[in-house]
Amino acid sequence: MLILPESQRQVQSLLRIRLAIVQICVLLPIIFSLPLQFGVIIAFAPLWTIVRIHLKQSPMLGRWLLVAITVISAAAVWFHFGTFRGRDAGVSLVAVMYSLKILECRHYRDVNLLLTLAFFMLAMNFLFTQEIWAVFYLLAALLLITHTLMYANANDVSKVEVKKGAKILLYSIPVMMFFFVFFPRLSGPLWHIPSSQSAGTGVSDSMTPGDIGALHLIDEVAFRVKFLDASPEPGDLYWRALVFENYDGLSWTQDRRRNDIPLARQEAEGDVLRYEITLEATKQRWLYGLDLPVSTPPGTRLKSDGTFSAARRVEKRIRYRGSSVTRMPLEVELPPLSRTINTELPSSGNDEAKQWARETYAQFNDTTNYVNYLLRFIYEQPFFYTLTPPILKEDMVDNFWFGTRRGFCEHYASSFVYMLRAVGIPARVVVGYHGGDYNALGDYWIITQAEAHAWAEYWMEGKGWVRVDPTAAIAPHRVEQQLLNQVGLRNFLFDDLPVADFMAESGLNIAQLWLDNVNRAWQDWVIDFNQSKQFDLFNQLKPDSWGLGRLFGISVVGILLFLAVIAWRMSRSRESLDHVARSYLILTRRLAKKGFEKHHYEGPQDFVHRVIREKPQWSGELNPILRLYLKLKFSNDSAQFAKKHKQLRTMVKRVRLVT
Amino acid sequence: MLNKIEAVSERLNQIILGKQEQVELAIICLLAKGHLLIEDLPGMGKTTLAHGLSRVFGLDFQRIQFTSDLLPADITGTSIYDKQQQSFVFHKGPIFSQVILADEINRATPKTQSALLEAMEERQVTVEGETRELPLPFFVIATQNPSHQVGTYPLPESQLDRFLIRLSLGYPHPDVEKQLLLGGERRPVANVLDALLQPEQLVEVQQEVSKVNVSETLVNYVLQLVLETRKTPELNHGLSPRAGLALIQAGKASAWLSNREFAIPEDIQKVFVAAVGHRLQPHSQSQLSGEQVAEAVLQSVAVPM
Repeated sequence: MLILPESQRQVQSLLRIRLAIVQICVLLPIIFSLPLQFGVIIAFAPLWTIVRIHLKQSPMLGRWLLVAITVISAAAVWFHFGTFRGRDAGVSLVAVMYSLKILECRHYRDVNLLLTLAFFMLAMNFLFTQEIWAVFYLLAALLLITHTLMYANANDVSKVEVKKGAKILLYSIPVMMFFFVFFPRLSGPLWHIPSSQSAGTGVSDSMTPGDIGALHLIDEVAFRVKFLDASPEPGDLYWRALVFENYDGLSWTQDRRRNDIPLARQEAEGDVLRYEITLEATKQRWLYGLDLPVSTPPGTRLKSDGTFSAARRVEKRIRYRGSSVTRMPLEVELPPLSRTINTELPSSGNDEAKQWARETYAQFNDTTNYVNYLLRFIYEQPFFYTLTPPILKEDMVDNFWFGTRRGFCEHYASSFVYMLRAVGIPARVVVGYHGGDYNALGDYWIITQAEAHAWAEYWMEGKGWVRVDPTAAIAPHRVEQQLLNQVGLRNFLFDDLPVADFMAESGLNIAQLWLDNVNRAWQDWVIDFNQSKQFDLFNQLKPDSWGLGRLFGISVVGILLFLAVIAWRMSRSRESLDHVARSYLILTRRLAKKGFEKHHYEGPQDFVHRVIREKPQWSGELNPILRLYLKLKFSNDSAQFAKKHKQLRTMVKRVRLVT
Repeated sequence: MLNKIEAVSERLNQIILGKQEQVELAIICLLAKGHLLIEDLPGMGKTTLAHGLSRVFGLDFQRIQFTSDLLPADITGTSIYDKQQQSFVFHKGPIFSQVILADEINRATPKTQSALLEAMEERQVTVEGETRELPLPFFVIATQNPSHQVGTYPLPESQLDRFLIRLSLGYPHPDVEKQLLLGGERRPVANVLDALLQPEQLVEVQQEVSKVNVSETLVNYVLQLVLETRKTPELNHGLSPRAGLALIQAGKASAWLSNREFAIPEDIQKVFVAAVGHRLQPHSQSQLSGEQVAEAVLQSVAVPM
């Protein structure tokens, strides 16, 4: 219970400092997610408050100065983003306004407003990150807010304990989980938050190796794969995404004509591997399958080049199942159009390479031997694998093949395919991912963006398309040592070590795998818990004969009942009233209906007299009741108590309040 | 008997114009056997009220003007050698009367203040090893200037606690003040007021007041109020049990004045601010006065049903 009316309570310096700390804690992750200048603006108000109080000066600013700061801050948001809509602009505006609020925190109600808003601001962090680690931070911040709320409202500050706040939060967890699972969900989010960041490196819809001076390996998870039956050989972990068949001398892209070629179903050789892929949002339509997919999830189409894509862009994490066969001929009968597409080269440029290719091919006049020669050429000549290749402008193949000889998979795949096409062998570039880290704890594979890869395919009479990875032909000692040692990536590619079993892994690695496991469970069960998953859960829970609507009805009724029970418990916890008081309570309720609300601090006589002052015609009805009530309640005269009490009850029942 | 008290009240209102509420509280204080502290600026009618009270109740009255050189013996009296009797004879000081007006009590040194305050609490005086009873009824009306004035020794909390009620009269309403200016000074009028009551009758009334019923519900209410002050962050410390007793005592007097043989929450509310305000010490950062905190406490505690 508040001791002073809110209007009279002062916001003490100590409380103000706590508010500033709460603000900083709540806004800290947001500050790091927003452009720097907004981080500075947001951090200003709470820091100013702390510093000023520390210097024993008032942190309050004048009204007009505040208005000016507010307007300027809002204008800054507008000029930076050009809008107030969207995630970044919206959050910037709200966060800036929220942080400025402390500068006008004069009254007690401002304190409560600031703290309740803190809960909302805290939830805003989920717009930027949904990692489980964020949750631990947010839980700690939640505890801080709760504690400060208790501190601000406490009668006796010394009795406010962190333990109590933690207890409250702990009690609320089952309630939260219940609501999380059972509260009816919408099929999609209420509003779409356009993300401002585009995907990092990985697979994109074109490939221009000459342009890239430095490739940054991004350690973000691209997707996770769980093999449902058996796992393939690690060397077969080629994840196919796109096939680039069109080369304009600079860039490799997909060829539009590919869509006109129908898929020719082939007989699978070997075991069909079934797997489940959990794909992070890519903002792209194409999906990944183990080379080569034979069946694709519903709603997707397997194209004749062995790739498939979703109907819509992958805007959020999705999960799908597919199955593949690692050795399967594709287009054994090469359609003429496919042959045309895959032997085309720009008519000009790279003359040296064309010349060299023709001469070399003339030595063998056999596809297999020619390919092997090319691979041996890469192995024997000083070709280097590096992530910081020199920029190649014109005659990229010439320069690379005979000059720089430094590059990464895109350079090798691109040049290799060029050399094949130059002698009329149909060849193309395939991009996707290669390899993956096995998580022994969760029995799944993690494929990161760093494992994006490009390789080549050439067509052979009777065999169809054959995969060849020219990058793998580089002599291991010419792979940048730094790359192997420090980044430890692409191990699959350059040496044929089997996947070490997890006992042999270092402790750090186990921890990493374990963390990833936790993260996956978090994403599966919390982030991805959408309407369809809720339906799945309900379907498991409900008896077969029930409809989903009925189940929803029951869960809503259940939630309402739950709230009702809490309300009832809370109302019961007030002190129980005796019979005399109950009669009086009935009277006060009747008067309240007539517009005379009794203040809790108002004594019965004051209350009834106040009513009678306004409605003198009621005095005949009310005065006897008041007299009897006061006598019963406050005099210790117990003579004929029961009779008088009955009398009071009937008087209250029969009271006529004519207006 | 109530009629007589009402007559007293009426008479007092004739000399202290426009201050019915304060007059009633002063009477309540007297009926509840408490001591009265009147705090106000000079010239607001403090002394007039004190004079008037003692006159109309027919009590024997002594006035002590407190100054910084006043000594305890000046209040309690002292023994003087009598040549004829060849022994020390005790000469009673002004404290041996029924009503003491301790004027400007905070101008005296703490030593002298405490001499008076001991008498107030114990209703007896010990001089030179001999304890002497004070007359009945015994009623101290102290006046003090607001303590921020020059040359004052503010009463410590422990001594403020001995006063049942603290009043301040405040400026009169302009209409009333005009009437007052037209009618001339009131103090001479107060000095010639007739006694409306005998001292024995006052003692009788005081006994009746102490018989007023206080129900458990009301005690609970008082307890809640007292507990609330102990939880208030604005205060250095809450009310003492003596304050709770004082509240009930004053509440009883208020109930008696309303011709009820039992006290109700409104009685407590009527006296609460006056009986408690001077006992509450908001801490230094707080901009509230004790009275304001008392008001707030009153607002925040629910009246039991």
